[in-house]
Amino acid sequence: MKLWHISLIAIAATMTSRDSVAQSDAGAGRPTTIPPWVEVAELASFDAEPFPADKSRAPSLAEWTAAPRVRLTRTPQRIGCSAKRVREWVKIRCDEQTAGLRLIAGSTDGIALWVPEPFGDNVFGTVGRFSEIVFPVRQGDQRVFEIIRFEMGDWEGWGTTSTYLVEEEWLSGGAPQIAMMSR
Amino acid sequence: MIVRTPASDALFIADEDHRVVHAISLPAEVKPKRADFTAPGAPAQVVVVGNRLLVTVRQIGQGGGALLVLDRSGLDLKEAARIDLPVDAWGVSVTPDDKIALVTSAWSHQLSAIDLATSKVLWSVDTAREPRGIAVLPGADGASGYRAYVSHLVGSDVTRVDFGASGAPTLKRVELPAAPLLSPANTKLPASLGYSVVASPRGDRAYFPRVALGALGPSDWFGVGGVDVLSTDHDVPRAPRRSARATAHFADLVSKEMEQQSGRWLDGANPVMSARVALSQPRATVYRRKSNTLLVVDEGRNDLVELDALAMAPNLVSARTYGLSKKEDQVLHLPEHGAAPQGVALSEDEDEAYVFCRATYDVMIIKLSPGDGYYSVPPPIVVGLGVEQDKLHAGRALFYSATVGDVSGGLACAGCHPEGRDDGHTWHEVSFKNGDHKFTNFIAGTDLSSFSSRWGDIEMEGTGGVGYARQTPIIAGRLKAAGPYGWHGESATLEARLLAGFGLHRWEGGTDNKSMMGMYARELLPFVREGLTPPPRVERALTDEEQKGRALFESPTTLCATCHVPASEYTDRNVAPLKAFPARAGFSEDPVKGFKTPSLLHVGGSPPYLHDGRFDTLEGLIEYNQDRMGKTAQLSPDERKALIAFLRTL
Ligand code: HEC
Ligand code: HEC
Repeated sequence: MKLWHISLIAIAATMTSRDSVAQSDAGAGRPTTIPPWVEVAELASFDAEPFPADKSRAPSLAEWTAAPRVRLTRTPQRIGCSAKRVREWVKIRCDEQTAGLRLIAGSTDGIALWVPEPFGDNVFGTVGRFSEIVFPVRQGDQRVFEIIRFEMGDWEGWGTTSTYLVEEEWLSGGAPQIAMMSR
Repeated sequence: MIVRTPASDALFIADEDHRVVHAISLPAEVKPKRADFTAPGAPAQVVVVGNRLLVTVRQIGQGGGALLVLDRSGLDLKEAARIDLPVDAWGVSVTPDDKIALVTSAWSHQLSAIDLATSKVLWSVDTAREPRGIAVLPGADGASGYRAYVSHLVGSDVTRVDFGASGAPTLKRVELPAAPLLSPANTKLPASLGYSVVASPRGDRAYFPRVALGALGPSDWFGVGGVDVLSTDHDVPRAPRRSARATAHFADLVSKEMEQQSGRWLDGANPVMSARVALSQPRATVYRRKSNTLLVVDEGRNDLVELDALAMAPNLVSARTYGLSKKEDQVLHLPEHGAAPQGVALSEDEDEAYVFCRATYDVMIIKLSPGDGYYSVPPPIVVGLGVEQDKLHAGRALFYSATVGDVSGGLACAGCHPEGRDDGHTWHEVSFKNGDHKFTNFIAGTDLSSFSSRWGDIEMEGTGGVGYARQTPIIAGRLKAAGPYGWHGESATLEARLLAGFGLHRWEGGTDNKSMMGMYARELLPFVREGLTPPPRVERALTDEEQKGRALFESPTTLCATCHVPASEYTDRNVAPLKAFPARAGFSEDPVKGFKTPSLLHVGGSPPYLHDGRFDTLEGLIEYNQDRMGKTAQLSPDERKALIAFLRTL
């Protein structure tokens, strides 16, 4: 735990405030996104293939690796997140430094939330370096996930802020929707 | 309240305070022409149908309400028809084929349909308390059947009505939890200020802007104003309920670390999401199709807020706020333009919004952002309505304003006493302790977890619950007497009560600026006495039953009139030590047992009853009263009915 203190303070030193992040679109000093941003519009929609009627087991790592990227109902522009689908399962991965994930509302059935912890000596460079949310998409779903990031405050140091919501909804009679929304 | 004509050549504005429908030519930026139509009573809302205007009038003389059909030529209006309706006609909306108008009558809680070809009332039906906004779903006609949703000023449930070109309508109450993602676990929050509702262009959603009383947020003492979205396919709320415990990964660990480093102020550490936009008093709404956004006017903060209409909970995601007010006077710091926005209309191309502001009697023109991303807002353009400001001007502005820090902290008088009526809520008066600092505030709910996650542990007075029960009273028409005021009669004068309120209506019990507070109280005082219109009462002879009820009320056996003195607003203004009920769940036992006899004016329309809101109906109150207050145990069922019938006429 001691180690954590040191590492998190170190991160703080490199964070910019929310406003300046938002305004520095030109990206002075910010790393370019790797892999390069793929226009989500070119991808097939996540619901292009019909959803299976029966429940299946969560996909294996090999299945995820082989799956193509899909487009969600909505994704904010220029965010480092991508989505994949295998059967009724969807995985949203964000290659952004992440301070945590929460399922705010809806069924926990089958969901998995993952943020890697720091490793080795380079705690500061490796803490929360990406995040993954996995969930099944089934009729009747209404889920809300929250993605939390580190942020520099204006007057009270630094901390975390809730940055995106992932809303998954499949009301009976309707089509499934998965929207990522900026907070 | 404000409409643009389909040909975009004029705006029409219903101005209740002056009993006038104002007309302004468009474009309004340079020297617009103006004309006024004097209405036979206070006009509430206006819609355009072809070359005609439909205007609701709350009350004509001492009689009922009406829908006026006005023929229009240029800016001039002429009455073509007047359709009598239940009193307090307020909201109006027409079916997509322009054949039927629906009208809500707020105080008399009726919904009426009018055949516009014949100007005949097709039906009037009873609904729940204070129906206000109406959204008729698009695409329907008389053969397929129409559907509409009705918002209510008070309460979280909404009303759905299905009807055809003829025949009786079907009404259904639809449960729509207020801010379920910000609600304490397993709690259904009450809502207030449900003035408006709009449908999406496809009719698949209905949007209800309102305040969720007791919704969680680190600084949200009164709750959170937002928009609750209903999926109309199966009348399902779009936002699910917040889980009792969030399933988190990493977040709590990081938050805990940060707490030790005083990082708790950032909302990622808060187990309850905080709203991105909290409206103080949502008042009117339009749908902006080209961006799929909702434009909601916030009466209290003088803002026009643009919210994402595709989100489950639009106020939880990023939004855009356009400030409406302009210029401040040097003494009271009230805006000279753009205060108390109450109506909004869009230009044809949806690039401009026209906002009617009730405290400054002007229309503010806002250039809306062309798309996503950053947009620097040009200052709004002011179009005056050509009415002189009266002596109540500053008091009126203060009554609606949620931003004058010496008066309130985020919620105006109009937030709890909408139109001088009440919000149907029982507030918690809580005395907090923060070290040596003690202060007393109203809060809406009992869950303090998001306060303490932001501000640290909270100490408060009282046991068994959170604060003492204070049900909001109607104030319009009830403030003639010098005093005393407050449920315990603790304020000797009205001015003293207003000053006490300035402390109660904000976090930390008010400011220390006594001279400003005094000045504000002196401006508010004449407005709350003279500027508020009491709920309308239709002048008519009492029925036999009501007369029998009056005789009982005035009889020495029931004793009602000894305390509720008819000559003085049905109160003697004395504090009566009635036998106490045990404290209601969620409230602390109030150490002060005496309560001031409340005025019974308009009592029939303002449930719940008693200082703690314990009874939802007058029937319940009389049933359980026995001989606690006056004597009712001896009354037969018919006598009780008669007594209640009389109370409803007050
Ligand atoms: C948070 C909700 C809330 C707000 C905001 C609010 N009130 Fe009240 N008001 C109440 C409640 C609850 C009571 C009853 C409390 C009591 O009497 O102890 C009350 C009581 C009153 C009374 C006393 C009525 C009587 O018959 O004794 C007056 C007058 C009044 N309010 C005026 C105002 C004015 C003016 C404002 C704006 C400055 C205002 N209120 C803002 C909730 C509110
Ligand atoms: C001793 C004086 C007294 C008498 C007699 C009396 N009342 Fe009351 N009344 C009060 C007080 C005090 C309250 C408020 C009590 C509370 O909130 O707990 C009240 C409250 C009420 C209310 C609720 C008002 C509201 O807005 O919540 C009604 C209705 C009412 N009284 C009707 C009656 C009737 C009918 C009678 C005759 C059977 C009667 N009262 C006799 C003192 C009296």
